[in-house]
Amino acid sequence: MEKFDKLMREKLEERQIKPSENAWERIAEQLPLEKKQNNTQKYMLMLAACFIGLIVLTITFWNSDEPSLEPTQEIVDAPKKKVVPKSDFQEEVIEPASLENSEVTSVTVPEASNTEKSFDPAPQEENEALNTLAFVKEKGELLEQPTLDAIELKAKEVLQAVEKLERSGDVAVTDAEIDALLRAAQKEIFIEKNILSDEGVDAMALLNEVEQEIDGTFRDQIFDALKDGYLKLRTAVADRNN
Amino acid sequence: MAQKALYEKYSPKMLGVCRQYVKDVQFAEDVMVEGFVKVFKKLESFRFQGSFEGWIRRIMVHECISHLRKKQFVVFDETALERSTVQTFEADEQWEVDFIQQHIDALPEGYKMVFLLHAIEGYRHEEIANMLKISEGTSKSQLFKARRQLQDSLGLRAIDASKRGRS
Repeated sequence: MEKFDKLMREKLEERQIKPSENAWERIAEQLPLEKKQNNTQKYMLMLAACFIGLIVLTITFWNSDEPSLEPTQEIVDAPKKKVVPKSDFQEEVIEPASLENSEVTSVTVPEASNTEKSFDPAPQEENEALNTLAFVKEKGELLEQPTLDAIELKAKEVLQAVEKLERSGDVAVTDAEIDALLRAAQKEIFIEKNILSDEGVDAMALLNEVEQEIDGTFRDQIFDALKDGYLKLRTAVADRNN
Repeated sequence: MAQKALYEKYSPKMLGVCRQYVKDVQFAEDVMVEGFVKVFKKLESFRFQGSFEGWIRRIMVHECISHLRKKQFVVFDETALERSTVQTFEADEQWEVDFIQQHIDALPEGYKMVFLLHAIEGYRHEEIANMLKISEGTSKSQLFKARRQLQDSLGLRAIDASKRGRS
Protein backbone atom coordinates (compact mmCIF):
# COMPACT_ATOMS: atom_id res chain seq x y z
CA MET A 1 0.00 0.00 0.00
CA GLU A 2 2.84 2.36 0.68
CA LYS A 3 3.95 1.85 -2.92
CA PHE A 4 0.55 2.96 -4.18
CA ASP A 5 0.57 5.99 -1.89
CA LYS A 6 4.04 6.91 -3.06
CA LEU A 7 2.95 6.65 -6.70
CA MET A 8 -0.04 8.88 -6.07
CA ARG A 9 2.12 11.39 -4.16
CA GLU A 10 4.67 11.58 -6.95
CA LYS A 11 1.98 12.26 -9.51
CA LEU A 12 -0.04 14.77 -7.53
CA GLU A 13 2.49 16.55 -5.35
CA GLU A 14 4.14 18.54 -8.10
CA ARG A 15 0.97 19.23 -9.96
CA GLN A 16 0.65 22.87 -10.97
CA ILE A 17 -2.34 24.76 -12.34
CA LYS A 18 -2.02 28.31 -13.52
CA PRO A 19 -4.55 30.57 -11.82
CA SER A 20 -6.73 32.95 -13.78
CA GLU A 21 -5.56 36.52 -14.46
CA ASN A 22 -7.84 38.16 -11.94
CA ALA A 23 -6.93 35.85 -9.05
CA TRP A 24 -4.23 38.21 -7.73
CA GLU A 25 -6.53 41.21 -8.10
CA ARG A 26 -9.07 39.45 -5.90
CA ILE A 27 -6.38 38.85 -3.29
CA ALA A 28 -5.04 42.40 -3.57
CA GLU A 29 -8.54 43.82 -3.11
CA GLN A 30 -8.81 42.18 0.28
CA LEU A 31 -5.33 43.13 1.49
CA PRO A 32 -5.66 46.96 1.40
CA LEU A 33 -8.95 46.65 3.24
CA GLU A 34 -7.16 44.86 6.02
CA LYS A 35 -4.47 47.52 6.07
CA LYS A 36 -7.15 50.17 6.21
CA GLN A 37 -8.75 48.43 9.17
CA ASN A 38 -5.38 48.19 10.88
CA ASN A 39 -4.78 51.89 10.30
CA THR A 40 -8.21 52.69 11.72
CA GLN A 41 -7.39 50.62 14.80
CA LYS A 42 -4.08 52.43 15.17
CA TYR A 43 -5.79 55.81 14.94
CA MET A 44 -8.33 54.74 17.53
CA LEU A 45 -5.56 53.56 19.85
CA MET A 46 -3.64 56.80 19.38
CA LEU A 47 -6.77 58.80 20.07
CA ALA A 48 -7.44 56.78 23.22
CA ALA A 49 -3.83 57.23 24.35
CA CYS A 50 -4.04 61.00 23.80
CA PHE A 51 -7.30 61.16 25.76
CA ILE A 52 -5.80 59.23 28.66
CA GLY A 53 -2.71 61.43 28.56
CA LEU A 54 -4.88 64.54 28.66
CA ILE A 55 -6.73 63.23 31.70
CA VAL A 56 -3.45 62.43 33.46
CA LEU A 57 -2.09 65.90 32.70
CA THR A 58 -5.28 67.52 33.97
CA ILE A 59 -5.14 65.55 37.22
CA THR A 60 -1.46 66.38 37.62
CA PHE A 61 -2.17 70.07 37.04
CA TRP A 62 -4.93 70.08 39.65
CA ASN A 63 -2.73 68.34 42.16
CA SER A 64 0.08 70.78 41.49
CA ASP A 65 -2.17 73.62 42.72
CA GLU A 66 -2.19 72.26 46.26
CA PRO A 67 1.57 72.50 46.88
CA SER A 68 1.37 76.20 45.98
CA LEU A 69 -0.29 76.72 49.37
CA GLU A 70 2.71 75.28 51.15
CA PRO A 71 4.74 78.50 51.15
CA THR A 72 1.94 80.06 53.21
CA GLN A 73 2.36 77.22 55.65
CA GLU A 74 6.06 77.87 55.76
CA ILE A 75 5.36 81.44 56.78
CA VAL A 76 3.14 80.11 59.51
CA ASP A 77 5.70 77.62 60.72
CA ALA A 78 8.59 80.04 60.86
CA PRO A 79 7.55 81.98 63.99
CA LYS A 80 6.76 78.74 65.77
CA LYS A 81 10.45 77.94 65.98
CA LYS A 82 11.13 81.21 67.75
CA VAL A 83 8.65 80.58 70.55
CA VAL A 84 10.56 80.02 73.74
CA PRO A 85 9.22 77.39 76.14
CA LYS A 86 7.05 78.87 78.83
CA SER A 87 8.96 77.22 81.65
CA ASP A 88 12.03 79.34 80.94
CA PHE A 89 10.24 82.46 82.04
CA GLN A 90 7.97 81.31 84.78
CA GLU A 91 10.82 80.88 87.19
CA GLU A 92 12.20 84.33 86.64
CA VAL A 93 10.76 85.98 89.69
CA ILE A 94 12.88 88.70 91.20
CA GLU A 95 12.16 89.95 94.65
CA PRO A 96 14.35 92.78 95.83
CA ALA A 97 15.64 91.80 99.25
CA SER A 98 15.55 95.10 101.00
CA LEU A 99 14.57 98.18 99.21
CA GLU A 100 13.33 100.85 101.52
CA ASN A 101 11.00 103.58 100.28
CA SER A 102 10.87 101.87 97.04
CA GLU A 103 7.91 102.05 94.78
CA VAL A 104 8.66 98.61 93.54
CA THR A 105 8.66 95.99 96.24
CA SER A 106 8.69 92.97 94.05
CA VAL A 107 8.90 92.63 90.41
CA THR A 108 7.70 89.64 88.57
CA VAL A 109 8.11 89.01 84.99
CA PRO A 110 5.35 90.82 83.21
CA GLU A 111 2.60 88.65 82.03
CA ALA A 112 2.80 90.22 78.68
CA SER A 113 6.36 89.14 78.38
CA ASN A 114 5.45 85.67 79.43
CA THR A 115 2.60 85.64 77.08
CA GLU A 116 4.77 86.97 74.36
CA LYS A 117 7.55 84.49 74.66
CA SER A 118 5.81 81.43 75.97
CA PHE A 119 2.53 81.90 74.24
CA ASP A 120 1.57 78.39 73.46
CA PRO A 121 -2.08 78.22 72.55
CA ALA A 122 -3.67 75.39 70.71
CA PRO A 123 -2.22 75.00 67.23
CA GLN A 124 -5.45 76.06 65.66
CA GLU A 125 -5.52 79.31 67.59
CA GLU A 126 -1.91 79.92 66.74
CA ASN A 127 -2.59 79.38 63.09
CA GLU A 128 -5.52 81.75 63.23
CA ALA A 129 -3.41 84.40 64.87
CA LEU A 130 -0.62 83.97 62.36
CA ASN A 131 -3.04 83.97 59.51
CA THR A 132 -4.35 87.24 60.82
CA LEU A 133 -0.78 88.48 60.89
CA ALA A 134 -0.36 87.46 57.29
CA PHE A 135 -3.57 89.26 56.49
CA VAL A 136 -2.31 92.40 58.17
CA LYS A 137 0.89 92.08 56.19
CA GLU A 138 -1.00 91.82 52.98
CA LYS A 139 -3.10 94.85 53.67
CA GLY A 140 -0.06 96.88 54.66
CA GLU A 141 -1.70 97.78 57.91
CA LEU A 142 1.29 97.34 60.09
CA LEU A 143 0.75 98.37 63.63
CA GLU A 144 2.64 101.31 64.99
CA GLN A 145 5.84 100.42 66.73
CA PRO A 146 7.37 102.41 69.56
CA THR A 147 10.19 104.57 68.38
CA LEU A 148 13.71 104.41 69.64
CA ASP A 149 13.26 107.82 71.27
CA ALA A 150 10.53 106.51 73.49
CA ILE A 151 12.76 103.69 74.65
CA GLU A 152 15.61 106.02 75.35
CA LEU A 153 13.22 108.24 77.25
CA LYS A 154 12.15 105.29 79.33
CA ALA A 155 15.75 104.34 79.98
CA LYS A 156 16.37 107.85 81.22
CA GLU A 157 13.39 107.56 83.50
CA VAL A 158 14.82 104.38 84.94
CA LEU A 159 18.14 106.10 85.39
CA GLN A 160 16.47 108.96 87.18
CA ALA A 161 14.56 106.56 89.40
CA VAL A 162 17.75 104.80 90.40
CA GLU A 163 19.46 108.09 91.11
CA LYS A 164 16.47 109.10 93.16
CA LEU A 165 16.76 105.89 95.10
CA GLU A 166 20.41 106.52 95.67
CA ARG A 167 19.77 110.05 96.78
CA SER A 168 16.91 109.16 99.08
CA GLY A 169 18.97 106.72 101.13
CA ASP A 170 22.40 105.36 101.56
CA VAL A 171 21.35 101.97 100.59
CA ALA A 172 23.40 100.50 97.82
CA VAL A 173 21.54 99.53 94.76
CA THR A 174 22.00 95.92 93.90
CA ASP A 175 22.06 94.44 90.41
CA ALA A 176 18.82 92.63 91.16
CA GLU A 177 17.13 95.90 91.97
CA ILE A 178 18.40 97.43 88.77
CA ASP A 179 17.09 94.44 86.84
CA ALA A 180 13.75 94.84 88.57
CA LEU A 181 13.59 98.46 87.54
CA LEU A 182 14.49 97.58 84.00
CA ARG A 183 11.77 94.96 83.85
CA ALA A 184 9.27 97.39 85.27
CA ALA A 185 10.25 99.80 82.53
CA GLN A 186 9.89 97.05 80.01
CA LYS A 187 6.42 96.39 81.32
CA GLU A 188 5.50 100.00 80.89
CA ILE A 189 6.77 99.88 77.36
CA PHE A 190 4.57 96.92 76.69
CA ILE A 191 1.64 98.76 78.17
CA GLU A 192 2.39 101.67 75.93
CA LYS A 193 2.46 99.26 73.07
CA ASN A 194 -1.03 98.18 74.15
CA ILE A 195 0.02 94.57 74.55
CA LEU A 196 -1.12 94.55 78.16
CA SER A 197 -4.38 96.10 79.19
CA ASP A 198 -6.88 95.76 81.99
CA GLU A 199 -8.98 93.42 79.94
CA GLY A 200 -6.10 91.09 79.18
CA VAL A 201 -3.87 90.49 76.23
CA ASP A 202 -4.48 92.47 73.09
CA ALA A 203 -4.32 90.02 70.24
CA MET A 204 -3.38 92.58 67.64
CA ALA A 205 -0.68 94.03 69.84
CA LEU A 206 0.59 90.55 70.42
CA LEU A 207 0.69 89.95 66.72
CA ASN A 208 2.59 93.17 66.41
CA GLU A 209 5.06 91.82 68.91
CA VAL A 210 5.42 88.66 66.91
CA GLU A 211 6.14 90.88 63.97
CA GLN A 212 8.86 92.46 66.02
CA GLU A 213 10.36 89.10 66.69
CA ILE A 214 10.52 88.48 63.02
CA ASP A 215 12.22 91.80 62.66
CA GLY A 216 14.96 90.97 65.13
CA THR A 217 16.97 94.13 64.59
CA PHE A 218 14.35 96.28 66.25
CA ARG A 219 14.31 94.05 69.30
CA ASP A 220 18.06 94.20 69.47
CA GLN A 221 17.83 97.97 69.39
CA ILE A 222 15.49 97.95 72.38
CA PHE A 223 17.77 95.87 74.51
CA ASP A 224 20.82 97.75 73.34
CA ALA A 225 19.19 100.95 74.52
CA LEU A 226 18.27 99.37 77.85
CA LYS A 227 21.77 98.01 78.15
CA ASP A 228 23.28 101.46 77.50
CA GLY A 229 21.05 102.96 80.17
CA TYR A 230 21.99 100.22 82.57
CA LEU A 231 25.70 100.75 81.99
CA LYS A 232 25.34 104.50 82.43
CA LEU A 233 23.48 103.89 85.67
CA ARG A 234 26.15 101.58 87.00
CA THR A 235 28.86 104.00 86.04
CA ALA A 236 27.01 106.83 87.78
CA VAL A 237 26.54 104.77 90.94
CA ALA A 238 30.16 103.71 90.91
CA ASP A 239 31.34 107.31 90.45
CA ARG A 240 29.16 108.52 93.29
CA ASN A 241 30.44 105.80 95.61
CA ASN A 242 33.99 106.74 94.80
CA MET B 1 5.55 44.09 -4.40
CA ALA B 2 6.82 41.19 -2.28
CA GLN B 3 3.37 39.74 -1.72
CA LYS B 4 2.73 39.49 -5.44
CA ALA B 5 6.11 37.84 -5.93
CA LEU B 6 5.21 35.21 -3.34
CA TYR B 7 1.86 34.71 -5.00
CA GLU B 8 3.37 34.25 -8.43
CA LYS B 9 5.87 31.73 -7.10
CA TYR B 10 3.51 29.54 -5.11
CA SER B 11 0.05 30.05 -6.62
CA PRO B 12 0.29 27.38 -9.40
CA LYS B 13 1.33 24.70 -6.96
CA MET B 14 -1.22 25.77 -4.38
CA LEU B 15 -4.00 25.77 -6.92
CA GLY B 16 -2.96 22.20 -7.73
CA VAL B 17 -3.31 21.32 -4.05
CA CYS B 18 -6.71 22.96 -3.84
CA ARG B 19 -7.83 21.19 -7.00
CA GLN B 20 -7.08 17.81 -5.37
CA TYR B 21 -9.78 18.50 -2.78
CA VAL B 22 -12.23 20.64 -4.77
CA LYS B 23 -13.63 19.19 -7.96
CA ASP B 24 -14.25 22.36 -9.94
CA VAL B 25 -11.16 24.38 -10.76
CA GLN B 26 -13.03 27.66 -10.35
CA PHE B 27 -14.09 26.74 -6.85
CA ALA B 28 -10.56 25.55 -6.22
CA GLU B 29 -9.28 28.97 -7.26
CA ASP B 30 -11.74 30.65 -4.90
CA VAL B 31 -10.37 28.53 -2.09
CA MET B 32 -6.81 29.36 -3.13
CA VAL B 33 -7.59 33.11 -3.10
CA GLU B 34 -8.99 32.87 0.42
CA GLY B 35 -5.98 30.80 1.40
CA PHE B 36 -3.51 33.40 0.13
CA VAL B 37 -5.36 36.19 1.95
CA LYS B 38 -4.91 34.20 5.15
CA VAL B 39 -1.26 33.55 4.31
CA PHE B 40 -0.57 37.28 3.95
CA LYS B 41 -2.54 38.07 7.09
CA LYS B 42 -0.60 35.53 9.11
CA LEU B 43 2.72 36.19 7.43
CA GLU B 44 4.12 37.83 10.58
CA SER B 45 3.41 34.66 12.56
CA PHE B 46 5.67 32.54 10.34
CA ARG B 47 8.71 31.69 12.51
CA PHE B 48 10.87 30.16 9.75
CA GLN B 49 10.45 26.76 11.39
CA GLY B 50 10.14 24.37 8.45
CA SER B 51 9.75 25.30 4.83
CA PHE B 52 7.67 28.29 3.77
CA GLU B 53 6.04 26.19 1.05
CA GLY B 54 4.99 23.58 3.59
CA TRP B 55 3.51 26.35 5.78
CA ILE B 56 1.47 27.74 2.86
CA ARG B 57 0.43 24.24 1.85
CA ARG B 58 -0.95 23.49 5.34
CA ILE B 59 -2.98 26.69 5.25
CA MET B 60 -4.36 25.75 1.84
CA VAL B 61 -5.31 22.24 3.00
CA HIS B 62 -7.13 23.63 6.04
CA GLU B 63 -8.90 26.12 3.81
CA CYS B 64 -9.99 23.31 1.50
CA ILE B 65 -11.37 21.27 4.38
CA SER B 66 -13.19 24.32 5.68
CA HIS B 67 -14.63 24.98 2.22
CA LEU B 68 -15.85 21.43 1.81
CA ARG B 69 -17.43 21.53 5.25
CA LYS B 70 -19.24 24.75 4.40
CA LYS B 71 -20.39 23.89 0.91
CA GLN B 72 -21.14 20.24 1.32
CA PHE B 73 -22.35 17.90 3.95
CA VAL B 74 -19.43 15.54 4.26
CA VAL B 75 -20.55 12.12 5.46
CA PHE B 76 -17.99 9.62 6.55
CA ASP B 77 -20.25 6.69 5.74
CA GLU B 78 -18.80 3.19 5.79
CA THR B 79 -21.17 2.06 3.04
CA ALA B 80 -20.61 5.05 0.77
CA LEU B 81 -18.28 3.06 -1.47
CA GLU B 82 -20.87 0.45 -2.32
CA ARG B 83 -23.49 3.09 -3.11
CA SER B 84 -21.25 5.44 -5.08
CA THR B 85 -21.11 5.25 -8.85
CA VAL B 86 -17.67 4.11 -9.80
CA GLN B 87 -16.64 5.50 -13.12
CA THR B 88 -14.63 3.26 -15.38
CA PHE B 89 -11.72 4.42 -17.45
CA GLU B 90 -9.96 2.77 -20.27
CA ALA B 91 -7.17 0.52 -19.08
CA ASP B 92 -4.59 1.62 -21.61
CA GLU B 93 -4.81 5.26 -20.62
CA GLN B 94 -1.59 6.88 -19.42
CA TRP B 95 -0.95 7.49 -15.79
CA GLU B 96 -1.44 11.14 -16.19
CA VAL B 97 -2.20 13.43 -13.36
CA ASP B 98 -5.54 14.48 -14.70
CA PHE B 99 -6.52 10.84 -15.05
CA ILE B 100 -5.69 10.15 -11.45
CA GLN B 101 -7.46 13.30 -10.40
CA GLN B 102 -10.62 12.16 -12.14
CA HIS B 103 -10.59 8.94 -10.12
CA ILE B 104 -9.92 10.84 -6.93
CA ASP B 105 -12.81 13.18 -7.72
CA ALA B 106 -15.02 10.11 -8.09
CA LEU B 107 -14.38 9.12 -4.50
CA PRO B 108 -16.90 10.06 -1.83
CA GLU B 109 -15.81 13.28 -0.08
CA GLY B 110 -14.96 11.55 3.16
CA TYR B 111 -12.81 8.93 1.47
CA LYS B 112 -11.14 11.52 -0.69
CA MET B 113 -10.16 13.82 2.18
CA VAL B 114 -8.74 11.02 4.29
CA PHE B 115 -6.83 9.59 1.33
CA LEU B 116 -5.36 12.96 0.28
CA LEU B 117 -4.45 13.96 3.83
CA HIS B 118 -2.73 10.67 4.56
CA ALA B 119 -1.29 9.54 1.22
CA ILE B 120 -0.41 12.92 -0.32
CA GLU B 121 0.07 15.34 2.59
CA GLY B 122 1.50 12.77 4.99
CA TYR B 123 -0.72 13.46 8.00
CA ARG B 124 -1.05 10.72 10.62
CA HIS B 125 -4.44 9.17 11.44
CA GLU B 126 -4.46 10.94 14.79
CA GLU B 127 -4.02 14.31 13.09
CA ILE B 128 -6.62 13.49 10.45
CA ALA B 129 -9.05 12.46 13.15
CA ASN B 130 -8.58 15.80 14.89
CA MET B 131 -8.85 17.82 11.70
CA LEU B 132 -11.99 16.08 10.43
CA LYS B 133 -13.40 15.46 13.91
CA ILE B 134 -13.71 11.72 13.38
CA SER B 135 -12.23 8.75 15.20
CA GLU B 136 -8.90 7.26 14.23
CA GLY B 137 -10.66 4.01 13.37
CA THR B 138 -12.93 5.78 10.92
CA SER B 139 -9.89 7.47 9.37
CA LYS B 140 -8.12 4.14 8.88
CA SER B 141 -11.25 2.48 7.50
CA GLN B 142 -11.89 5.35 5.08
CA LEU B 143 -8.29 5.25 3.90
CA PHE B 144 -8.42 1.50 3.27
CA LYS B 145 -11.62 1.73 1.25
CA ALA B 146 -10.40 4.77 -0.69
CA ARG B 147 -7.25 2.93 -1.70
CA ARG B 148 -9.21 -0.14 -2.78
CA GLN B 149 -11.58 1.90 -4.92
CA LEU B 150 -8.76 3.84 -6.54
CA GLN B 151 -6.82 0.70 -7.31
CA ASP B 152 -9.91 -0.91 -8.78
CA SER B 153 -10.80 2.08 -10.86
CA LEU B 154 -7.26 2.59 -12.06
CA GLY B 155 -6.92 -1.16 -12.84
CA LEU B 156 -3.86 -1.47 -10.65
CA ARG B 157 -5.16 -4.44 -8.70
CA ALA B 158 -5.88 -6.41 -11.89
CA ILE B 159 -2.40 -5.60 -13.20
CA ASP B 160 -0.82 -6.61 -9.91
CA ALA B 161 -2.85 -9.87 -9.84
CA SER B 162 -1.86 -10.77 -13.39
CA LYS B 163 1.78 -10.03 -12.55
CA ARG B 164 1.55 -12.24 -9.50
CA GLY B 165 -0.17 -15.01 -11.59
CA ARG B 166 2.56 -14.96 -14.22
CA SER B 167 5.27 -15.12 -11.66
